[in-house]
Amino acid sequence: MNPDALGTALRAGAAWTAAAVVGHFVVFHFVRVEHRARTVTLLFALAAVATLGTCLLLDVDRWRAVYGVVVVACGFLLYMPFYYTVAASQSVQLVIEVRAAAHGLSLAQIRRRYPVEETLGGRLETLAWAGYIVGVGGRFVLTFKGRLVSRPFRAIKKLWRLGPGG
Amino acid sequence: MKGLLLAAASSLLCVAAVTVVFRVVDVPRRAAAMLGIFLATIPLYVAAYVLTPADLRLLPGWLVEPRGFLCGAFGLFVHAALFFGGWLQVYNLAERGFSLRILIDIDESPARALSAEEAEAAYGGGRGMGWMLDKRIEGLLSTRLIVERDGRLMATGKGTRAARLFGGLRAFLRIDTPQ
Repeated sequence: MNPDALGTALRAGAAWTAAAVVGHFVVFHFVRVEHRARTVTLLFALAAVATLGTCLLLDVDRWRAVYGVVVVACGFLLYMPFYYTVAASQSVQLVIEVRAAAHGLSLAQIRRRYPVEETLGGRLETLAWAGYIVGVGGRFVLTFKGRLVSRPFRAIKKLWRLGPGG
Repeated sequence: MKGLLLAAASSLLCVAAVTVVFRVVDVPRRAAAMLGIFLATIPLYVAAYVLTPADLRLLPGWLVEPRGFLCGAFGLFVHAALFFGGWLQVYNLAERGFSLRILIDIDESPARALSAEEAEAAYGGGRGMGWMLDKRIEGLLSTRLIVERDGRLMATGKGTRAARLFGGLRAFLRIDTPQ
């Protein structure tokens, strides 16, 4: 049995987490990825499996090997919000566009760049594509998957007395 | 195992405290308040780790970690990950999520169905979609990423650095349309 089982498991988890992040950068840079979130999730899942395998190869007992997987899971928890900020944040997009304009942008110019109908239409399309909503008779209704997301967050907003948000 | 159990307990304590504070007090800067509560739980975690026996009087011998410091540091890392990657993100999504707001608006509408035009008007509890853009701009102004000069919005030094970093990452990852 490995005398430094915990240390070995944590190092394996950290190393494979770093590998997943590097893998993300390499894959996304060289391949046009359609299912981005799914791909990142898959990379971290592979890192978790690799961590388990590495631990077992290095004679780490099964219980402490799970600690290595916990490190990968925590890495995933921390990395995904960062990735979404880079990939999907409208505030980030706005600041990039304001900076790119030589003399800044007026409010009217920003509104022209983000036409309400197009922005909403694009997001509705994405939600339908992802299976959260479905069009019925010219209107959108939630699917089971959509309700599964909406209901817990409605409860949290009520519990924490948050405003409408968005 | 002790580190993991205390991390889970600290995380639950943190979210319970957040819930009490949000329900009892009108907090203007909620994310900052959450961070403050999380930071307050760190000394509690450390104290609990130092003052309790290695087996917590309930763990079998094979679950007791001989390297106490490493186990304690691991628990602290898990506690931090649960907060920054978990509770804080739940709050951010509930408070700022664009797609989530659309789903909730549909769910809360009387017929549980909205057309695109109705969704536009109903957005943000009836504030409309224009408000969403105003809220983002206000957020960027309040965090000093942009400033208003002569009716134009300009990136500050901080905003320029953020734009370079995120723009560079988006270009490298070949992200052109938000998904």
